[in-house]
Amino acid sequence: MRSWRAAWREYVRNRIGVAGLALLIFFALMALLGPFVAPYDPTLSSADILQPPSVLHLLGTNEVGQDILSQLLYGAQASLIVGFAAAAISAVMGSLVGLVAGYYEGYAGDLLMRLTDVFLVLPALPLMVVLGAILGPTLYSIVIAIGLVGWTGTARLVRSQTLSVKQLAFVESSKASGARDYYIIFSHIVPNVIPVIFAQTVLVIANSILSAAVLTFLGLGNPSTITWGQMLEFAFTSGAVTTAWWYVMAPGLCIMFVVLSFSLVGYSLDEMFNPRTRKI
Amino acid sequence: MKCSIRVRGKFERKNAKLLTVEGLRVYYKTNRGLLKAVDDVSFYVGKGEIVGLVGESACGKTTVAMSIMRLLPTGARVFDGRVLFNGQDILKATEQQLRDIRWKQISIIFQGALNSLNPVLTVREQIAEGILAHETVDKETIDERIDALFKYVGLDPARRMNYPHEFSGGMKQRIMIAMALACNPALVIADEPTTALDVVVQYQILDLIRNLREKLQISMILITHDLSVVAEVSDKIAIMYAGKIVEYGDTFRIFEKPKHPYTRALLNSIPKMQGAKTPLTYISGSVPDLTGPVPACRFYDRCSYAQKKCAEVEPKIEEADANQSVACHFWREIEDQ
Amino acid sequence: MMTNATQDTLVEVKNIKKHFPVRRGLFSRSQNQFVHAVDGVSVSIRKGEVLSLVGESGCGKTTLARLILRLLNPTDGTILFERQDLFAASGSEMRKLRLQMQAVFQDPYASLDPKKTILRVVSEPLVVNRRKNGVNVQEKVRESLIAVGLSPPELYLSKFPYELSGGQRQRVAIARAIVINPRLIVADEPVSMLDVSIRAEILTLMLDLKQKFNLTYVFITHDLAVARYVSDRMAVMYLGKIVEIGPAEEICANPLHPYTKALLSALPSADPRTRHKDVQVKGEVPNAIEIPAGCRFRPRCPHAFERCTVEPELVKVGPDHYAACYLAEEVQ
Repeated sequence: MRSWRAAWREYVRNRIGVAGLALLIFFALMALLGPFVAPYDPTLSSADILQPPSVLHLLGTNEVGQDILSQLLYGAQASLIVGFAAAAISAVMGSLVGLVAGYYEGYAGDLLMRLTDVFLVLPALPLMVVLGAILGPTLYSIVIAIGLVGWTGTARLVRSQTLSVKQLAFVESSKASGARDYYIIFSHIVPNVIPVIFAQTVLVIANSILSAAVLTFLGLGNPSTITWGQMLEFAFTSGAVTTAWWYVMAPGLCIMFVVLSFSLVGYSLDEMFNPRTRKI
Repeated sequence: MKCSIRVRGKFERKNAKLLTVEGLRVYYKTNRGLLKAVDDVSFYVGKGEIVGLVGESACGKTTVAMSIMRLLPTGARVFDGRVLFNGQDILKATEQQLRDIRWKQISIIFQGALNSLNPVLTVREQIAEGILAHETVDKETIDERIDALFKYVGLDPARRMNYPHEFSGGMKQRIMIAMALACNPALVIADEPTTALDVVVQYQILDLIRNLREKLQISMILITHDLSVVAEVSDKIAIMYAGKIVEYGDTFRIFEKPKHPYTRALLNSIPKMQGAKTPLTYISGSVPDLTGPVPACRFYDRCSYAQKKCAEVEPKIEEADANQSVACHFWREIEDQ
Repeated sequence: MMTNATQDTLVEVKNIKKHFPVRRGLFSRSQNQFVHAVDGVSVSIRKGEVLSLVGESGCGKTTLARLILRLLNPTDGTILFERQDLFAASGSEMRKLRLQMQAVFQDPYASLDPKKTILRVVSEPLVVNRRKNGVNVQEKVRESLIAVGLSPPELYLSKFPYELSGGQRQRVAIARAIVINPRLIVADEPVSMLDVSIRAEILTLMLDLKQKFNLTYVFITHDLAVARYVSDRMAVMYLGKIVEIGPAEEICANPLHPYTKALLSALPSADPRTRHKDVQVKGEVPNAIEIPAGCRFRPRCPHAFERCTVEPELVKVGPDHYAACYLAEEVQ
């Protein structure tokens, strides 16, 4: 891998990647600054129920008169944080499993991979729902539920990368120099596997945000925290789908575009780092 | 577009020219600029002749082969030159004409071809696929031809229903050669055909190549970095350096009296099995970056005979002898030393 | 056996064997099928010599190299380094032994971690063996780089491998190997992937370093001409065993084992006048799973006779020259 500047230059050449990054920055700003620029307190109910977008309420109001735009801005934080946190758990777990399975192979490796297979085979959504229900109605339980289910893809990828890095000559040289396993793993294998983990994790974040939206939509999670998924749930339960299109569109489009932005960035990163298209 | 080599003498009259490359220039578009991979290369292959295209990494020999087959990757463009085959310029041929030429007239064995056999198809299926892509023949003819091909390359015809993994490296290379001969081409281009093979197998393949030339009168362009391989089989060699041909002519003459400093240094850097052990010479430095400005003679920075003129005026290839041409300003002086 | 260990011996290989089980299916690890990569090799490596291991692919030379470096554990036999058993050594003893032997591998593009600067690459043996001492490390790395001809070293310290040419990378690999002052260097095809015109440079460098630092080399190559150029002694391997061993010049001028003769005559010479040699050997190297009974070379040997049904041992056929062939024996 080159220096950061060269990597940046290469990334920028891909228009898809730039578009994704721009969108990403937009949503990051929304999450950071949302509460400061929101015109209203999102929990403030008013008498203007289910009003369409107007000058007063740019995105209209919901069934208890709350301003949808403000809810969207406040909700960005929670939605994104849940996505990031869950993805972090998946990334760490998946990488650890993949590294150990790939470096040590043998029975330990086989066992870990069979475990991964088990998790792969279990249907993700029902599993997440069950975990969420067991762990209780908080945002943390959603994070854990998603994290515990989403690590398998990373594990497989990291394992195969580890296997191929492991047999490169510089690892052998290291061993011949007397390096011990932990040194080789952290000093040689990890730096050469990280680009791939990075690209994969960005996609995992996209997935996690979506899963978080789904889970909050299904009713798990803390009802008093505003998230986009939850906004959608209220939209459905209050029957606004047929009458107040703005109520459904606002959070729905946001979810869609956030996921899209991560996917685009992840896709371009993957193109850059994928060992099949470039040398390690 | 003038042909810049004319090797006169009985050599030329004996062999009709099958393929002539004239002034070929192939450049690649890279993010650092235009890479002049092949810059004004000219040579010809006579009927029944084996021409060795020799050079080290990044000299452009594979690019020349790909240009002849019109198989250049995107980003590479032929900027100039002609490739004449049977009076026709391949570089200007239409798709239809190319289909008639490829495999039926000119075929190619790619570098590392042993690994390009499809593991889930039998060998027979793969050769048949190649034949059927260019000719319409029935199953019996195909089988007959495969039998004959196998016999030519020294394989047991009964093994044609085997899968690639059941063959050794040397056998796989023979299969590739059989595939290249499947439609009876006049010219075969072989890119590093023996590089991945063991010594004994290499000898067997080279022997096979010699036999094929005798039995079938096939012409061949043999691309390699290994001078001892061309010494074994080729009639003529063209030594390439940084996209240009620096010396060209009859194999025996070049080995006996190399005229270009690069050729001389190259020959001196090969350890010998016979004779006294003399210290090997080597060429320090590395090949110039072909995307940037290069000295007029590309070998200038590494040449022990370099003079001021060499950096400013490009040496054109000139006839030094019957059957030997060299691109160097001072080859006469060097020879006298 | 010809392991006559003397004062002169640095490494003694004693009847070492390495068999790899052939994996079949998901869980079954072996079904009594083994790849006999190294099948009983005994040799003494003398201090200060260059011993080359030559042979075709599958002959076991690479596996033997890894056994000497203790990157693999043997199925049988052992190796003594200065009379200390490599495979019986404890963790800390082994770490001390590792300091004495280093490796240079074939692929200059894969033998350096692409994510590390040259400084980190060359200093690794020091760091890993806790020989770091702040200033000393940089100093030693500089010395090493100068010794391999990468001068001034400051130019290279902060570069990454992708910024260097193949020849330069190989020099870095050599610098890494000598930075902890080893006694033995095992070089596995160190020049095969380099351009021909650069090979001589690296070979000359290795020989110079040998003089300067009192090194011993085990040099693995399939290129007999290169082996002849650098080595004092040559050992020819076939299907996991040494079939002929002796002074390099002697073996090239007077090969006595039929396989060595075949190898030498099959070598393309860089001289078009000596073409069309008559190589007397049939077929190709068989796989190392089913070793032929008796002499391993018997199925391909043009001179095989009745005695060859019993595997021959290495016997003396000349001054310091040994061959495992009954015919060679009878000549003497």
